[in-house]
Amino acid sequence: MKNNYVLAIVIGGIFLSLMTLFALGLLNQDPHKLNLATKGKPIPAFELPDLLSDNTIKNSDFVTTKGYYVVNFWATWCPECYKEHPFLMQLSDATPIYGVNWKDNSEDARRYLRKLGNPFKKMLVDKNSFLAIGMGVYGAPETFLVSADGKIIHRYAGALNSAIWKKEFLPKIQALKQAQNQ
Amino acid sequence: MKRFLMLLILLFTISSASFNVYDFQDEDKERRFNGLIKELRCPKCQNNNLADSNAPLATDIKNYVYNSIKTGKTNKEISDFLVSRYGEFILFRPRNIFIWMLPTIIGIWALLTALFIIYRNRLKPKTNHELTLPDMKTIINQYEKSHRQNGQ
Repeated sequence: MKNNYVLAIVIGGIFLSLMTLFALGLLNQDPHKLNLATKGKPIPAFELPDLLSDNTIKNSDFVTTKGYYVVNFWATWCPECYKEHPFLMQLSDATPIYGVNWKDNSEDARRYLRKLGNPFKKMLVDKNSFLAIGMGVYGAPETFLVSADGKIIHRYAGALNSAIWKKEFLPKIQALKQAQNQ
Repeated sequence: MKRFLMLLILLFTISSASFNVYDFQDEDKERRFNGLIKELRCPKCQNNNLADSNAPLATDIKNYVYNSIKTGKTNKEISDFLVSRYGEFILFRPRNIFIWMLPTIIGIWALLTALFIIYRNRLKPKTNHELTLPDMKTIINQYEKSHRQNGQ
């Protein structure tokens, strides 16, 4: 009889802990945020139009002396992009940022940059989501941290700001630098 | 009335025409395309499949599927590529066999536990009976022994 109680407690305990884990998982995870499936993978080979000239931009144009760079997907139709723009302007002083103008009207995009300033070292146009699908983008804005050799390290979906940069990007940049120094 | 009916027919033809933007020469390819876009999730509006979604990203992924089928890629190659970009989340039918097996595993586990409990409960009275008899005998023996010793 006593053994039955022990068994019931053990089974009940396993069930309760599984339910708790499940509930915590639901609470902590924003169902709208996707995991980065392209983490550690290289940016796909691309050649897309330059927003600010008649040239095209390809992988080899994403250069950096820092060991890393940032790729930002944005559009004029995206309200959060306006929100993060001042921080991108500030970030661009010390960090190379490459912009991808995603599914946008190019004339609107040029006007946007003239008016709010251009934080991007280069600015390419991705009208048909070639690069967006290739990198696993599902919304705008999205900001990717990429190593100098073109591997995707991290992605933040939503408006970037100083606090998020410090919390999510700086530790990864530190780790990247340490790995590169070894 | 006739005019109204004609207008209605016209409206329906226009609306059905606007859905058939993907043109296939080959029926098999068209069937594959329609099947795939029903089984792939739109990453932007996550409760819709590609077929039901009008999000611009869903349209671009549909275009990718269309072009890939036209250029001779297999269903597996297409879904492998999209899984490598968005994760298994993009598939409405997960590939992880464990997820499919989980209900069966839990069922078997529950059945085995139930059988185990029933089996043990059946065994118990027998075991208790067998155990108590010698136990009582030893207790009586010990009692008698101690009394005899005290009496002496």
